[in-house]
Amino acid sequence: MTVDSVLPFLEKAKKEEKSLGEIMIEHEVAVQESSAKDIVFAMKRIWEVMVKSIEEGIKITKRSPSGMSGGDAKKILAKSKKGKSLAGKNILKVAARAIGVAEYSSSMGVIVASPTAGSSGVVPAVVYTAAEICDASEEAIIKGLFASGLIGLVCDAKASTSGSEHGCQAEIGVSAAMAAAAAVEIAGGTAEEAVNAAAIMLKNSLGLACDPVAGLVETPCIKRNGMMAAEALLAADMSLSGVKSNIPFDEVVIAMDDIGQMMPCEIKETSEGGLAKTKTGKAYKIHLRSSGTRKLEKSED
Amino acid sequence: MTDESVFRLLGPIMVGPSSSHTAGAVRIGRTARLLYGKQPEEVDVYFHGSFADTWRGHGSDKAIIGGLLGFKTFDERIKEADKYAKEAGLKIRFKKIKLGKRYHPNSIKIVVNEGKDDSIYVIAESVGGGDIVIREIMGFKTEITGSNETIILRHGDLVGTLSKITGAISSFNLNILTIRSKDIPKKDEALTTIEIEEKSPKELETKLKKIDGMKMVRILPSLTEGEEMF
Repeated sequence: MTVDSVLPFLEKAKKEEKSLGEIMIEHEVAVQESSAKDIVFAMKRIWEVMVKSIEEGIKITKRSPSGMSGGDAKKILAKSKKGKSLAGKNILKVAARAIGVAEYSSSMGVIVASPTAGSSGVVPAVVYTAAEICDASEEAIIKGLFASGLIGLVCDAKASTSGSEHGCQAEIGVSAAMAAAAAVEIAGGTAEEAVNAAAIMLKNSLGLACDPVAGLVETPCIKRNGMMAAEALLAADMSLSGVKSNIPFDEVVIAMDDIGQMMPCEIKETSEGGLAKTKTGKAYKIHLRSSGTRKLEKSED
Repeated sequence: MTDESVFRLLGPIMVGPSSSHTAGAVRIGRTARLLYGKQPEEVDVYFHGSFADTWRGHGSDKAIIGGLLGFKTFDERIKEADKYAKEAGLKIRFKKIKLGKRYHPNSIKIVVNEGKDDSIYVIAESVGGGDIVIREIMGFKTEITGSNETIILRHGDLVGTLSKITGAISSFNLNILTIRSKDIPKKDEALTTIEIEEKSPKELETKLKKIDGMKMVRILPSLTEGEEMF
Protein backbone atom coordinates (compact mmCIF):
# COMPACT_ATOMS: atom_id res chain seq x y z
CA MET A 1 0.00 0.00 0.00
CA THR A 2 1.49 3.33 -0.99
CA VAL A 3 0.92 6.51 0.95
CA ASP A 4 -0.72 8.59 -1.76
CA SER A 5 -2.94 10.96 0.23
CA VAL A 6 -2.70 12.95 3.44
CA LEU A 7 -6.44 12.53 4.08
CA PRO A 8 -6.51 9.22 6.01
CA PHE A 9 -3.78 10.58 8.29
CA LEU A 10 -5.60 13.88 8.86
CA GLU A 11 -8.83 12.05 9.69
CA LYS A 12 -7.06 9.78 12.13
CA ALA A 13 -5.29 12.70 13.80
CA LYS A 14 -8.55 14.61 14.20
CA LYS A 15 -10.50 11.62 15.51
CA GLU A 16 -7.85 10.53 17.99
CA GLU A 17 -6.83 14.11 18.86
CA LYS A 18 -3.21 13.44 18.05
CA SER A 19 -0.54 15.47 16.29
CA LEU A 20 0.71 14.53 12.82
CA GLY A 21 4.05 13.42 14.26
CA GLU A 22 2.31 11.03 16.67
CA ILE A 23 0.22 9.56 13.86
CA MET A 24 3.31 9.07 11.71
CA ILE A 25 5.19 7.28 14.50
CA GLU A 26 2.25 4.85 14.71
CA HIS A 27 2.36 4.47 10.93
CA GLU A 28 6.08 3.67 10.97
CA VAL A 29 5.62 1.16 13.80
CA ALA A 30 3.07 -0.66 11.62
CA VAL A 31 5.26 -0.49 8.49
CA GLN A 32 8.42 -1.77 10.17
CA GLU A 33 6.59 -4.20 12.47
CA SER A 34 8.78 -2.76 15.17
CA SER A 35 8.35 -0.99 18.51
CA ALA A 36 7.84 2.76 18.94
CA LYS A 37 11.03 2.78 20.98
CA ASP A 38 13.11 1.39 18.08
CA ILE A 39 11.47 3.68 15.56
CA VAL A 40 12.17 6.76 17.67
CA PHE A 41 15.73 5.56 18.24
CA ALA A 42 16.30 5.29 14.48
CA MET A 43 15.02 8.85 14.00
CA LYS A 44 17.32 10.06 16.79
CA ARG A 45 20.25 8.68 14.80
CA ILE A 46 19.04 10.65 11.76
CA TRP A 47 18.75 13.78 13.91
CA GLU A 48 22.26 13.34 15.36
CA VAL A 49 23.73 13.27 11.85
CA MET A 50 21.64 16.32 10.89
CA VAL A 51 22.83 18.31 13.91
CA LYS A 52 26.45 17.41 13.25
CA SER A 53 26.10 18.46 9.62
CA ILE A 54 24.81 21.87 10.76
CA GLU A 55 27.60 22.32 13.30
CA GLU A 56 30.29 21.36 10.80
CA GLY A 57 28.72 23.29 7.94
CA ILE A 58 28.67 26.67 9.68
CA LYS A 59 32.41 26.36 10.37
CA ILE A 60 33.45 25.86 6.73
CA THR A 61 35.83 28.45 5.32
CA LYS A 62 37.45 26.51 2.45
CA ARG A 63 36.16 26.94 -1.09
CA SER A 64 35.11 23.89 -3.09
CA PRO A 65 37.22 22.59 -6.04
CA SER A 66 34.90 24.41 -8.48
CA GLY A 67 35.37 27.71 -6.64
CA MET A 68 31.59 28.17 -6.45
CA SER A 69 30.90 27.48 -2.78
CA GLY A 70 32.23 27.34 0.77
CA GLY A 71 32.19 29.86 3.63
CA ASP A 72 28.83 31.50 2.94
CA ALA A 73 27.07 29.90 5.93
CA LYS A 74 29.70 31.35 8.25
CA LYS A 75 29.27 34.84 6.78
CA ILE A 76 25.49 34.79 7.14
CA LEU A 77 25.66 33.47 10.70
CA ALA A 78 28.10 36.25 11.65
CA LYS A 79 25.62 38.80 10.29
CA SER A 80 22.88 37.32 12.47
CA LYS A 81 24.97 38.00 15.55
CA LYS A 82 25.74 41.67 15.10
CA GLY A 83 24.41 44.79 13.51
CA LYS A 84 21.11 45.40 11.82
CA SER A 85 19.41 42.68 9.80
CA LEU A 86 16.70 43.39 7.28
CA ALA A 87 15.21 39.90 7.25
CA GLY A 88 15.55 39.25 10.98
CA LYS A 89 17.95 37.13 13.01
CA ASN A 90 15.97 33.88 12.80
CA ILE A 91 15.79 34.08 9.02
CA LEU A 92 19.55 34.62 8.83
CA LYS A 93 20.17 31.74 11.20
CA VAL A 94 17.95 29.27 9.36
CA ALA A 95 19.50 30.25 6.01
CA ALA A 96 23.04 29.94 7.40
CA ARG A 97 22.31 26.51 8.80
CA ALA A 98 20.72 25.22 5.58
CA ILE A 99 23.55 26.59 3.46
CA GLY A 100 26.04 25.16 5.96
CA VAL A 101 24.66 21.65 5.56
CA ALA A 102 24.67 22.00 1.78
CA GLU A 103 28.28 23.26 1.83
CA TYR A 104 29.23 20.40 4.14
CA SER A 105 27.64 17.93 1.73
CA SER A 106 29.53 19.56 -1.12
CA SER A 107 32.80 19.08 0.74
CA MET A 108 32.05 15.36 1.19
CA GLY A 109 30.69 15.63 4.70
CA VAL A 110 28.19 13.08 6.03
CA ILE A 111 24.59 14.26 5.61
CA VAL A 112 21.07 12.86 5.60
CA ALA A 113 19.43 12.89 2.17
CA SER A 114 16.14 14.66 2.90
CA PRO A 115 14.73 13.82 0.47
CA THR A 116 17.94 14.12 -1.62
CA ALA A 117 21.56 15.09 -1.00
CA GLY A 118 21.15 18.31 -3.00
CA SER A 119 18.25 19.43 -0.81
CA SER A 120 19.69 18.09 2.44
CA GLY A 121 20.01 21.45 4.19
CA VAL A 122 16.39 22.55 4.50
CA VAL A 123 14.82 20.03 6.89
CA PRO A 124 17.69 20.05 9.43
CA ALA A 125 17.98 23.85 9.41
CA VAL A 126 14.25 24.50 9.76
CA VAL A 127 13.76 21.87 12.48
CA TYR A 128 16.82 23.12 14.38
CA THR A 129 15.75 26.75 14.17
CA ALA A 130 12.06 26.11 14.91
CA ALA A 131 13.10 24.08 17.98
CA GLU A 132 15.38 26.90 19.09
CA ILE A 133 12.65 29.53 18.71
CA CYS A 134 10.03 27.36 20.47
CA ASP A 135 12.46 26.03 23.07
CA ALA A 136 11.24 22.56 22.02
CA SER A 137 12.25 19.22 23.54
CA GLU A 138 14.01 16.45 21.64
CA GLU A 139 10.71 14.56 21.69
CA ALA A 140 9.04 17.43 19.82
CA ILE A 141 11.91 17.52 17.31
CA ILE A 142 11.56 13.79 16.61
CA LYS A 143 7.80 14.19 16.14
CA GLY A 144 8.45 17.07 13.77
CA LEU A 145 10.72 14.88 11.65
CA PHE A 146 8.10 12.15 11.53
CA ALA A 147 5.45 14.70 10.50
CA SER A 148 7.70 15.80 7.62
CA GLY A 149 7.83 12.20 6.45
CA LEU A 150 4.16 12.12 5.43
CA ILE A 151 4.64 15.12 3.13
CA GLY A 152 7.61 13.48 1.44
CA LEU A 153 5.86 10.13 1.08
CA VAL A 154 2.84 11.61 -0.70
CA CYS A 155 5.06 13.68 -3.04
CA ASP A 156 7.10 10.60 -3.86
CA ALA A 157 4.04 8.41 -4.48
CA LYS A 158 2.06 10.89 -6.58
CA ALA A 159 4.83 12.87 -8.29
CA SER A 160 8.57 12.48 -7.71
CA THR A 161 11.40 13.51 -5.42
CA SER A 162 14.02 13.49 -8.16
CA GLY A 163 15.34 16.54 -10.00
CA SER A 164 16.08 14.46 -13.07
CA GLU A 165 12.42 13.46 -13.26
CA HIS A 166 10.53 16.59 -12.17
CA GLY A 167 13.08 19.39 -11.79
CA CYS A 168 14.12 21.14 -8.60
CA GLN A 169 10.52 21.60 -7.41
CA ALA A 170 10.60 17.88 -6.63
CA GLU A 171 13.79 18.14 -4.57
CA ILE A 172 14.02 21.50 -2.80
CA GLY A 173 10.26 22.12 -3.08
CA VAL A 174 9.51 18.83 -1.37
CA SER A 175 12.20 19.37 1.27
CA ALA A 176 10.77 22.80 2.10
CA ALA A 177 7.20 21.45 2.27
CA MET A 178 8.45 18.68 4.59
CA ALA A 179 10.26 21.27 6.70
CA ALA A 180 7.20 23.55 6.93
CA ALA A 181 5.10 20.66 8.27
CA ALA A 182 7.82 19.79 10.77
CA ALA A 183 8.01 23.41 11.97
CA VAL A 184 4.25 23.51 12.60
CA GLU A 185 4.44 20.26 14.58
CA ILE A 186 7.31 21.65 16.67
CA ALA A 187 5.37 24.86 17.31
CA GLY A 188 2.48 22.76 18.63
CA GLY A 189 0.17 23.11 15.63
CA THR A 190 -2.43 20.57 14.52
CA ALA A 191 -2.00 17.96 11.79
CA GLU A 192 -4.23 20.04 9.56
CA GLU A 193 -2.08 23.15 10.10
CA ALA A 194 1.08 21.15 9.36
CA VAL A 195 -0.25 19.82 6.05
CA ASN A 196 -1.65 23.25 5.15
CA ALA A 197 1.80 24.81 5.71
CA ALA A 198 3.27 22.18 3.38
CA ALA A 199 0.67 23.05 0.74
CA ILE A 200 1.43 26.80 0.98
CA MET A 201 5.14 26.04 0.69
CA LEU A 202 4.95 23.55 -2.17
CA LYS A 203 2.73 25.87 -4.25
CA ASN A 204 5.48 28.45 -4.13
CA SER A 205 8.11 26.06 -5.52
CA LEU A 206 6.17 24.73 -8.50
CA GLY A 207 8.07 24.85 -11.76
CA LEU A 208 11.54 25.31 -10.31
CA ALA A 209 14.21 24.32 -12.82
CA CYS A 210 17.11 21.98 -12.06
CA ASP A 211 19.94 23.61 -14.02
CA PRO A 212 23.13 22.98 -12.04
CA VAL A 213 26.25 24.78 -13.25
CA ALA A 214 28.96 22.36 -14.43
CA GLY A 215 26.68 19.48 -13.40
CA LEU A 216 27.56 20.01 -9.75
CA VAL A 217 25.31 20.20 -6.70
CA GLU A 218 26.44 23.77 -5.94
CA THR A 219 24.95 26.54 -8.10
CA PRO A 220 22.08 27.28 -7.62
CA CYS A 221 21.54 24.40 -5.17
CA ILE A 222 23.44 25.54 -2.08
CA LYS A 223 22.02 29.05 -1.73
CA ARG A 224 18.61 27.73 -2.70
CA ASN A 225 18.70 25.54 0.41
CA GLY A 226 19.02 28.74 2.45
CA MET A 227 16.30 30.63 0.60
CA MET A 228 13.83 27.77 0.85
CA ALA A 229 14.54 27.18 4.54
CA ALA A 230 13.57 30.80 5.20
CA GLU A 231 10.39 30.36 3.16
CA ALA A 232 9.49 27.18 5.03
CA LEU A 233 9.50 29.05 8.35
CA LEU A 234 7.26 31.70 6.82
CA ALA A 235 4.88 29.07 5.43
CA ALA A 236 4.64 27.52 8.91
CA ASP A 237 3.88 30.91 10.49
CA MET A 238 1.30 31.71 7.81
CA SER A 239 -0.48 28.42 8.45
CA LEU A 240 -0.36 28.92 12.24
CA SER A 241 -1.87 32.39 11.76
CA GLY A 242 -4.92 30.77 10.17
CA VAL A 243 -4.13 31.40 6.49
CA LYS A 244 -5.46 28.50 4.37
CA SER A 245 -4.14 27.17 1.09
CA ASN A 246 -7.02 27.34 -1.40
CA ILE A 247 -5.72 24.23 -3.13
CA PRO A 248 -5.47 21.23 -0.77
CA PHE A 249 -2.07 19.57 -0.38
CA ASP A 250 -2.91 16.38 -2.34
CA GLU A 251 -3.94 18.50 -5.33
CA VAL A 252 -0.82 20.66 -5.13
CA VAL A 253 1.20 17.45 -5.47
CA ILE A 254 -0.83 16.52 -8.56
CA ALA A 255 -0.05 19.98 -9.96
CA MET A 256 3.66 19.38 -9.30
CA ASP A 257 3.47 16.10 -11.19
CA ASP A 258 1.65 17.81 -14.05
CA ILE A 259 4.21 20.62 -14.28
CA GLY A 260 7.09 18.18 -13.90
CA GLN A 261 5.91 16.24 -16.92
CA MET A 262 5.66 19.43 -18.97
CA MET A 263 9.19 20.60 -18.12
CA PRO A 264 11.78 20.05 -20.86
CA CYS A 265 14.70 17.72 -20.09
CA GLU A 266 17.17 20.59 -20.55
CA ILE A 267 16.17 21.83 -17.08
CA LYS A 268 16.02 18.44 -15.39
CA GLU A 269 19.54 17.95 -14.03
CA THR A 270 21.12 17.60 -17.47
CA SER A 271 22.90 20.99 -17.28
CA GLU A 272 21.85 21.68 -20.87
CA GLY A 273 19.79 24.75 -20.09
CA GLY A 274 19.25 27.69 -17.74
CA LEU A 275 22.07 28.76 -15.42
CA ALA A 276 24.33 25.95 -16.64
CA LYS A 277 24.24 27.44 -20.14
CA THR A 278 25.07 31.02 -19.15
CA LYS A 279 28.45 32.51 -20.11
CA THR A 280 29.68 32.41 -16.52
CA GLY A 281 28.18 28.97 -15.92
CA LYS A 282 30.14 27.58 -18.84
CA ALA A 283 33.32 29.30 -17.60
CA TYR A 284 33.01 27.49 -14.25
CA LYS A 285 32.79 24.22 -16.10
CA ILE A 286 36.06 24.95 -17.91
CA HIS A 287 37.73 26.16 -14.70
CA LEU A 288 36.80 22.95 -12.90
CA ARG A 289 38.60 20.84 -15.49
CA SER A 290 41.93 22.44 -14.61
CA SER A 291 41.62 22.65 -10.82
CA GLY A 292 42.91 20.17 -8.23
CA THR A 293 45.98 17.96 -8.23
CA ARG A 294 44.64 14.72 -9.71
CA LYS A 295 44.40 14.64 -13.48
CA LEU A 296 42.70 12.11 -15.68
CA GLU A 297 45.06 10.23 -17.97
CA LYS A 298 44.08 9.70 -21.57
CA SER A 299 42.92 6.19 -22.22
CA GLU A 300 44.03 4.30 -25.31
CA ASP A 301 40.75 2.45 -25.84
CA MET B 1 13.08 -0.58 2.72
CA THR B 2 9.36 -0.57 2.13
CA ASP B 3 7.69 2.14 0.08
CA GLU B 4 5.70 3.47 3.01
CA SER B 5 8.60 4.12 5.38
CA VAL B 6 9.42 7.74 6.26
CA PHE B 7 13.09 6.73 6.35
CA ARG B 8 13.05 6.61 2.57
CA LEU B 9 12.54 10.38 2.63
CA LEU B 10 14.77 11.05 5.64
CA GLY B 11 17.75 8.98 4.58
CA PRO B 12 20.08 7.48 3.65
CA ILE B 13 22.88 8.84 5.79
CA MET B 14 25.63 9.39 3.22
CA VAL B 15 28.75 11.27 2.26
CA GLY B 16 27.79 14.14 -0.06
CA PRO B 17 27.42 15.75 -2.44
CA SER B 18 25.71 13.45 -4.93
CA SER B 19 23.83 10.20 -4.47
CA SER B 20 24.65 9.09 -8.01
CA HIS B 21 28.20 10.44 -8.41
CA THR B 22 29.40 9.92 -4.84
CA ALA B 23 27.35 7.22 -3.06
CA GLY B 24 26.97 5.19 -6.29
CA ALA B 25 30.71 5.47 -6.95
CA VAL B 26 31.50 4.16 -3.46
CA ARG B 27 29.35 1.12 -4.16
CA ILE B 28 30.93 0.49 -7.56
CA GLY B 29 34.39 0.61 -5.98
CA ARG B 30 33.31 -1.74 -3.23
CA THR B 31 31.86 -4.16 -5.79
CA ALA B 32 35.25 -4.33 -7.55
CA ARG B 33 36.92 -5.06 -4.22
CA LEU B 34 34.43 -7.83 -3.43
CA LEU B 35 34.91 -9.35 -6.86
CA TYR B 36 38.66 -9.33 -6.45
CA GLY B 37 38.18 -11.01 -3.09
CA LYS B 38 40.81 -9.09 -1.14
CA GLN B 39 42.38 -5.64 -0.87
CA PRO B 40 43.33 -4.65 -4.44
CA GLU B 41 46.84 -3.27 -4.85
CA GLU B 42 46.85 -1.85 -8.35
CA VAL B 43 43.73 -0.44 -9.92
CA ASP B 44 42.86 1.43 -13.11
CA VAL B 45 39.61 3.38 -13.03
CA TYR B 46 37.98 4.56 -16.23
CA PHE B 47 35.38 7.34 -16.11
CA HIS B 48 32.78 7.32 -18.88
CA GLY B 49 30.17 9.97 -19.74
CA SER B 50 29.13 12.35 -17.00
CA PHE B 51 31.63 10.84 -14.57
CA ALA B 52 34.40 12.02 -16.90
CA ASP B 53 32.96 15.57 -16.75
CA THR B 54 31.94 15.97 -13.14
CA TRP B 55 34.05 13.52 -11.13
CA ARG B 56 36.17 16.22 -9.51
CA GLY B 57 33.32 18.32 -8.14
CA HIS B 58 31.50 15.25 -6.87
CA GLY B 59 34.56 13.61 -5.33
CA SER B 60 33.92 10.50 -7.40
CA ASP B 61 37.65 9.68 -7.29
CA LYS B 62 37.70 9.61 -3.49
CA ALA B 63 34.40 7.74 -3.48
CA ILE B 64 35.80 4.97 -5.72
CA ILE B 65 38.96 4.73 -3.61
CA GLY B 66 36.81 4.54 -0.46
CA GLY B 67 34.83 1.71 -2.02
CA LEU B 68 38.00 -0.13 -3.03
CA LEU B 69 39.08 0.13 0.61
CA GLY B 70 35.77 -1.45 1.64
CA PHE B 71 34.12 1.70 3.04
CA LYS B 72 30.34 2.14 3.11
CA THR B 73 28.53 5.17 1.67
CA PHE B 74 28.33 6.93 5.06
CA ASP B 75 31.98 6.46 6.06
CA GLU B 76 33.59 9.79 6.99
CA ARG B 77 37.00 8.43 5.94
CA ILE B 78 35.96 8.75 2.27
CA LYS B 79 36.87 12.45 2.36
CA GLU B 80 40.48 11.47 3.10
CA ALA B 81 40.45 8.33 0.98
CA ASP B 82 43.84 9.13 -0.61
CA LYS B 83 45.52 8.96 2.80
CA TYR B 84 43.92 5.59 3.59
CA ALA B 85 44.81 4.25 0.13
CA LYS B 86 48.46 5.02 0.81
CA GLU B 87 48.28 3.19 4.14
CA ALA B 88 46.69 0.17 2.44
CA GLY B 89 49.28 0.17 -0.36
CA LEU B 90 46.63 0.79 -3.02
CA LYS B 91 47.96 2.29 -6.25
CA ILE B 92 45.30 3.82 -8.43
CA ARG B 93 45.19 5.54 -11.82
CA PHE B 94 42.21 7.44 -13.19
CA LYS B 95 41.53 7.63 -16.90
CA LYS B 96 38.87 8.94 -19.20
CA ILE B 97 37.17 6.46 -21.52
CA LYS B 98 34.50 6.39 -24.17
CA LEU B 99 32.78 3.05 -23.73
CA GLY B 100 30.26 3.73 -26.46
CA LYS B 101 26.65 4.73 -26.75
CA ARG B 102 25.17 1.51 -25.42
CA TYR B 103 26.57 2.28 -21.99
CA HIS B 104 24.71 4.42 -19.47
CA PRO B 105 26.00 8.04 -19.25
CA ASN B 106 27.06 7.38 -15.64
CA SER B 107 29.36 4.40 -16.17
CA ILE B 108 32.67 3.38 -14.62
CA LYS B 109 35.07 0.62 -15.60
CA ILE B 110 37.41 -0.72 -12.94
CA VAL B 111 40.35 -2.99 -13.72
CA VAL B 112 42.26 -4.63 -10.86
CA ASN B 113 45.82 -5.86 -11.49
CA GLU B 114 45.77 -5.30 -15.24
CA GLY B 115 47.85 -7.87 -17.16
CA LYS B 116 48.31 -10.18 -14.17
CA ASP B 117 46.82 -13.68 -13.80
CA ASP B 118 44.36 -12.68 -11.12
CA SER B 119 43.18 -9.56 -12.96
CA ILE B 120 39.46 -8.80 -12.89
CA TYR B 121 37.41 -6.05 -14.44
CA VAL B 122 33.92 -4.71 -13.98
CA ILE B 123 31.75 -2.13 -15.74
CA ALA B 124 28.99 -0.63 -13.63
CA GLU B 125 26.40 2.14 -13.93
CA SER B 126 25.26 4.55 -11.28
CA VAL B 127 21.58 4.89 -12.03
CA GLY B 128 20.47 7.39 -9.37
CA GLY B 129 19.81 7.58 -5.65
CA GLY B 130 22.98 5.59 -4.99
CA ASP B 131 21.64 2.56 -6.85
CA ILE B 132 24.00 0.79 -9.23
CA VAL B 133 23.82 -1.88 -11.90
CA ILE B 134 26.80 -4.10 -12.71
CA ARG B 135 26.72 -4.44 -16.49
CA GLU B 136 29.81 -6.43 -17.26
CA ILE B 137 32.23 -8.68 -15.41
CA MET B 138 35.26 -9.77 -17.44
CA GLY B 139 33.50 -9.64 -20.78
CA PHE B 140 30.39 -11.28 -19.38
CA LYS B 141 27.17 -9.25 -19.53
CA THR B 142 25.38 -9.02 -16.21
CA GLU B 143 22.47 -7.18 -14.65
CA ILE B 144 23.36 -7.26 -10.99
CA THR B 145 21.73 -4.53 -8.88
CA GLY B 146 22.93 -5.62 -5.48
CA SER B 147 19.46 -5.39 -4.03
CA ASN B 148 19.96 -9.03 -3.09
CA GLU B 149 22.94 -11.15 -2.23
CA THR B 150 24.64 -12.29 -5.44
CA ILE B 151 26.90 -15.29 -5.95
CA ILE B 152 29.44 -14.94 -8.75
CA LEU B 153 31.19 -18.05 -9.98
CA ARG B 154 33.87 -18.73 -12.58
CA HIS B 155 34.14 -22.38 -13.41
CA GLY B 156 35.23 -24.89 -16.02
CA ASP B 157 32.72 -25.48 -18.75
CA LEU B 158 31.97 -29.00 -17.55
CA VAL B 159 28.80 -30.99 -17.98
CA GLY B 160 26.69 -31.01 -14.84
CA THR B 161 28.45 -28.14 -13.07
CA LEU B 162 25.37 -25.97 -13.01
CA SER B 163 23.23 -28.61 -11.36
CA LYS B 164 25.92 -29.13 -8.72
CA ILE B 165 25.87 -25.39 -8.05
CA THR B 166 22.09 -25.14 -7.72
CA GLY B 167 22.13 -28.32 -5.64
CA ALA B 168 24.60 -26.77 -3.23
CA ILE B 169 22.47 -23.65 -2.91
CA SER B 170 19.23 -25.49 -2.32
CA SER B 171 20.91 -27.73 0.25
CA PHE B 172 20.99 -24.63 2.47
CA ASN B 173 17.31 -23.92 1.78
CA LEU B 174 18.13 -20.73 -0.10
CA ASN B 175 15.77 -19.40 -2.76
CA ILE B 176 17.28 -18.60 -6.16
CA LEU B 177 15.79 -15.41 -7.63
CA THR B 178 17.75 -15.24 -10.90
CA ILE B 179 20.44 -17.35 -12.47
CA ARG B 180 22.54 -16.55 -15.54
CA SER B 181 25.33 -18.59 -16.97
CA LYS B 182 27.43 -18.04 -20.07
CA ASP B 183 30.69 -19.18 -21.63
CA ILE B 184 33.53 -16.72 -21.30
CA PRO B 185 34.72 -15.94 -24.85
CA LYS B 186 37.88 -17.81 -25.95
CA LYS B 187 38.18 -19.76 -22.70
CA ASP B 188 36.87 -23.13 -21.61
CA GLU B 189 35.20 -21.36 -18.80
CA ALA B 190 31.80 -20.06 -17.84
CA LEU B 191 30.68 -17.28 -15.56
CA THR B 192 27.54 -17.84 -13.52
CA THR B 193 25.71 -15.23 -11.47
CA ILE B 194 23.00 -16.18 -9.03
CA GLU B 195 20.86 -13.84 -6.97
CA ILE B 196 19.48 -15.39 -3.82
CA GLU B 197 16.71 -14.19 -1.57
CA GLU B 198 18.35 -14.74 1.80
CA LYS B 199 21.76 -14.16 3.28
CA SER B 200 23.86 -17.27 2.72
CA PRO B 201 25.81 -19.02 5.47
CA LYS B 202 29.62 -19.13 5.26
CA GLU B 203 29.42 -22.89 4.62
CA LEU B 204 27.89 -22.28 1.18
CA GLU B 205 31.08 -20.64 -0.06
CA THR B 206 33.12 -23.61 1.16
CA LYS B 207 30.77 -26.07 -0.50
CA LEU B 208 30.80 -24.19 -3.82
CA LYS B 209 34.61 -24.04 -3.81
CA LYS B 210 34.72 -27.84 -3.62
CA ILE B 211 32.78 -28.35 -6.86
CA ASP B 212 34.95 -29.82 -9.66
CA GLY B 213 36.39 -27.17 -11.96
CA MET B 214 35.43 -24.24 -9.72
CA LYS B 215 37.92 -21.40 -10.29
CA MET B 216 36.41 -18.50 -8.38
CA VAL B 217 33.64 -18.08 -5.81
CA ARG B 218 32.58 -14.60 -4.75
CA ILE B 219 29.64 -13.73 -2.57
CA LEU B 220 28.50 -10.12 -2.99
CA PRO B 221 26.35 -9.14 -0.02
CA SER B 222 23.36 -6.92 -0.67
CA LEU B 223 24.63 -3.38 -1.26
CA THR B 224 22.72 -1.90 1.63
CA GLU B 225 23.93 -4.46 4.14
CA GLY B 226 25.11 -2.62 7.23
CA GLU B 227 23.08 0.46 6.32
CA GLU B 228 19.80 -0.74 7.81
CA MET B 229 17.99 1.54 10.22
CA PHE B 230 16.54 -1.42 12.11
